[in-house]
Amino acid sequence: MKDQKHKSPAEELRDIAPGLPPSPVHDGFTVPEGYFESLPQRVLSAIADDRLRQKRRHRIIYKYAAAAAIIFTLLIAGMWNATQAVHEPDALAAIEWEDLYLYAVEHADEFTSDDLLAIGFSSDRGMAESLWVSDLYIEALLDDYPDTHDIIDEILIDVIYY
Amino acid sequence: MLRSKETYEAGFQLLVRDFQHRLYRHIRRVVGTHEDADDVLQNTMIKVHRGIKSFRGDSSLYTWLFRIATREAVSMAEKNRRRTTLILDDQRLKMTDTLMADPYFNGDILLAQLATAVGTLPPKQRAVFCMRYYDAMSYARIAEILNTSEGALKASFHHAAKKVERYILQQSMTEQAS
Repeated sequence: MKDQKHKSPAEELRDIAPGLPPSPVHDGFTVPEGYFESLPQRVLSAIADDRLRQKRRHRIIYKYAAAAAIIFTLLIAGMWNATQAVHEPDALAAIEWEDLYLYAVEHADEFTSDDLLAIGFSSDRGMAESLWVSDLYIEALLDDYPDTHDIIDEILIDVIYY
Repeated sequence: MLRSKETYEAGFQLLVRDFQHRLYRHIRRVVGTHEDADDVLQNTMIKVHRGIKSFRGDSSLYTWLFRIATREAVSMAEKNRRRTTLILDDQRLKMTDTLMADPYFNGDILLAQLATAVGTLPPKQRAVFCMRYYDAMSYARIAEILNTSEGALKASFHHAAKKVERYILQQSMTEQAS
């Protein structure tokens, strides 16, 4: 008896599914004329488009990550003030969440990612870098959340529960 | 050629030319239509381009490319499958007719039935079946591509072959009855 390990696919098929035709030489699938001749060039164009798309995605995500960082900074500052100076009027605490959010989104362009890392996370720079500058993280967010506002919310949740 | 900036583009074109036929055939069998196969092949090449610098040669280039292509093809097939969850028997017959009418299919009725039967398998099992049945790949090679055990692959191929056989026999009986 032939060793089971060395059976060819045809021999194996004869044993398990004898009603199945032997593997055909041609599977019947064809391509439009000239498809393979033009493919390498089209692939290079697709790669160039992909590079541009990636750059654009990164710009968008940095913008909204910036907004999230500002909100987070304001929240932390608000909480710090609330615990340190209970008797003083706390301006930040009086600001509605929606207003903070709008402020952050509107001013996001004014900050570079380096500014944000310095402003928002000076005490924990490593965390911010690993969280935001990771391409994988950005890719995952963009795939999961086509609406950029959802991305801000998601980053905030990650930052708060990190 | 892929290591140097000056020769990278020519090198990448060469890589595409070398593997395009084999990858296309593999992808097409898993996803079914030319349009989907074209999308998947281009996405595969984009991912190869993104990862080529970090490719360390732990596996052969062939294995690495097939791994990416299989992952992309299975993902596309799963997406398509979610869109058409319930397929009734008479619709399956129509699927064979649709394939026969496809301008990028020139096989006979048996090849169309075979392709339709393969299309009813779950995408991952479909990929395993195609690599073994059409490409006559060894289990060791498929295991390397899919990063799984040979035993699991044998079981998967066994079930797939049985299902495809049953489907083709049913189709012949239906045709004879009508």
